[in-house]
Amino acid sequence: MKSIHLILSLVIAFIISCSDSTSKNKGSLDSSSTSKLDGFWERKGTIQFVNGKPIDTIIFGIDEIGFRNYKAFGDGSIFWINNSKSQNTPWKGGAGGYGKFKITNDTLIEHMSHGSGGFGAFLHYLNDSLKTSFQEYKFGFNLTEKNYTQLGGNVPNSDDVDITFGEYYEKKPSLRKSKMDGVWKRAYEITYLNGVAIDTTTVPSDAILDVKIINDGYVIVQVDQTRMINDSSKSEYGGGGAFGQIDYDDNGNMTEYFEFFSGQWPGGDNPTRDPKTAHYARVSFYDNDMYLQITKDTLNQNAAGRGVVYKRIQ
Amino acid sequence: MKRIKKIIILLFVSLLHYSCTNANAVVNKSKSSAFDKIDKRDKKLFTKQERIESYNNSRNKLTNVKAALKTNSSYSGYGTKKVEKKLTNKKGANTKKISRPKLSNAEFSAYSTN
Repeated sequence: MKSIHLILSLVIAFIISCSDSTSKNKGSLDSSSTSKLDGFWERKGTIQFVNGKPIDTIIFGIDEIGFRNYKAFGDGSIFWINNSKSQNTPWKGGAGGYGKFKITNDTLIEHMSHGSGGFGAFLHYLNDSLKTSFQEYKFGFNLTEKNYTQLGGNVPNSDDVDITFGEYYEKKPSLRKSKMDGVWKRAYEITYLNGVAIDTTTVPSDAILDVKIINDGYVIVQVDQTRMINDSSKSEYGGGGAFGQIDYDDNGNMTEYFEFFSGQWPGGDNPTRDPKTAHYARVSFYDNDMYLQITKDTLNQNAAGRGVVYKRIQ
Repeated sequence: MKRIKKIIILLFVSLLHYSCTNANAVVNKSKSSAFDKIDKRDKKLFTKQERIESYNNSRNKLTNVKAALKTNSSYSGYGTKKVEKKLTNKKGANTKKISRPKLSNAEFSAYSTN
């Protein structure tokens, strides 16, 4: 009788603990599948507010030449990336982040769990110290059809509580739709030798998280490997990320035209749709929620190569 | 009886640990069964460390195969000639101390790490 009670208690504890874990993994946000923020947004400048009133707008390209910052929302996921390099970090690229989001009437709530460059290291440090799986960011926002302003957050180099800043974004126009649109996570890797698969492995996503969002012909990639490298002095600790345009022709041909990178990924700022720096890959869909991507090797320089399998994120 | 209890508790703890270690990004359940065998095999990797080691071993296989191909690229059936190893100057990992980047107000970001 006692054994039955014990088993029953354990089963109940199991159900409770695992259902709690699932909600934590989703970032505790019950995101709807679509939102009015879905799409790619380009940061155009900064609005200064004094006592809640917009006073000044600094547009990038005039005062801040070369600074680029994009955000993307889709399927409950939020991505951001910039090309802001720092001489004081070991990483050649900018920074980026990945998490889950939810919007209410006037508030954008982001639960950022992963990142690249300085933000990846920062998140890992905080989550490790606080025993959390994400950091919450709440922003007020004003949204129109073509732009949105994001208010709130930390204001660096200012002790004046009356002065705040808002990030001003404009929506990127839709270039095209494709079967690849969505949010994807690298789930498996396949090693090939002369075109024959010789080994397949699962990607341990609790150690390395590779996610990407594709929508309207644009792509942002974020790879966080802070849980695998465990040594912040190594350049690999910064992971990587990229922003650019993407083409998929429905015949298995994918081209990613990356324009800039975050973390330790090499490469500077590339021209838009530059064929010389583009990444060409062969894509095969297993079904709507899983595909295999193999980098094209037209010159047969690598007889041995790797295929990566991506699964769609809810 | 006590022994049975101990076994039940041990099994429960193992099951709990295994079931609750999940990725932060939850994926859709694919209809394809192409990776069922891989999933079944890799389910045996209970700890994060085991999963990392298994992954790194797989990555190393590719590196080893590539190295073997490179080393034996000048293989000849008329007698093998050992290829001289080229010495490369590997630059040490950049170990600069990380400090908070200085941002101007124009580059203000809510995600600033200060």
